[in-house]
Amino acid sequence: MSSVVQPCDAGIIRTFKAYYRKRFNNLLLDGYENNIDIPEKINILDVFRLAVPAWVEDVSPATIANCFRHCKIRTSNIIHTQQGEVGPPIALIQELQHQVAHLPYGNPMDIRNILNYSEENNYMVVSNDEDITNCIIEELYLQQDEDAANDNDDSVEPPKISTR
Amino acid sequence: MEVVGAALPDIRAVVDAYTKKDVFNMDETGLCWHLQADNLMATHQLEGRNINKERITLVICANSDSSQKISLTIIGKHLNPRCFKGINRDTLGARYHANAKAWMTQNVFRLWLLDFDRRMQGRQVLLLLDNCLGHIPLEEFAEMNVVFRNTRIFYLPPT
Repeated sequence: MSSVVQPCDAGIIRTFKAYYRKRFNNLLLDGYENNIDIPEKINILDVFRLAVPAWVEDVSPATIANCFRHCKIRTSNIIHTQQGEVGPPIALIQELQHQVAHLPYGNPMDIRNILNYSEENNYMVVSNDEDITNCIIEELYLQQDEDAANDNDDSVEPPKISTR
Repeated sequence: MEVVGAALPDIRAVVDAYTKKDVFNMDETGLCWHLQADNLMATHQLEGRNINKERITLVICANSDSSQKISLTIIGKHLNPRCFKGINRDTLGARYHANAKAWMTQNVFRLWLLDFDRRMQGRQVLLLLDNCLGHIPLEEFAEMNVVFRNTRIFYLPPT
């Protein structure tokens, strides 16, 4: 359950994602330019290389401070009327639109849709206690299997634990 | 919204007791990491039912004067992805965890908090959190004998 008084929800996460998308789009554009086959086929290591600088270098201290102020969780912030940007800067949104216009898409998505993609809210959607238990069991299984799994690749799925 | 409004004075009383650099907020979010801004492809992926495979969870945390961004934690589905072979994970700039759903679980949450608390050595900080299901209620930490020396955890009211 998210909270309206949570600075991360106020815009820090959305801004981070916009910078991630910018870096990802750049990777695609470079890939197409250099005739790389399926440039969108990236792995989790590539995700680190996109996400870490998007967080460390791109998200500005001003955005973070604005998001905290915006939530008015400190008494001295209640009277502050000038807010500043709490989401991705307008210039960044424009850049994302510019990038998407240059990608070979059949039916380009509105940038706002990709920055508020509903599937991404699904980080801890749990329908019942059984789901939670199974998730924990599978995680424990993964830990125990760490040595044995050394040679496994991405295609190996964790075992399915039946719920019925 | 009204629940939050009513709780704001209490939240402020807690936050005001800490300097800005000592107030942190952590939250997690899903990221469909190679989702493309193309409706045709997204539909195709949905039909292929593999869109979930492509989602990871990220943990984001910063303090209110924005002097400190805590390095990311990334939760994926595979404990030892092939692409990590030969890579020293300490050089990745973010922590990596894995579980079958790529979710924030109570286990990952507990490890994240213990690590955060260690980083706050010598300080007394406030960590604001929401009531997501992966987050462990404070009384359960007491039962687990998990003690945070440098961190006060404060759960924000649900929206």
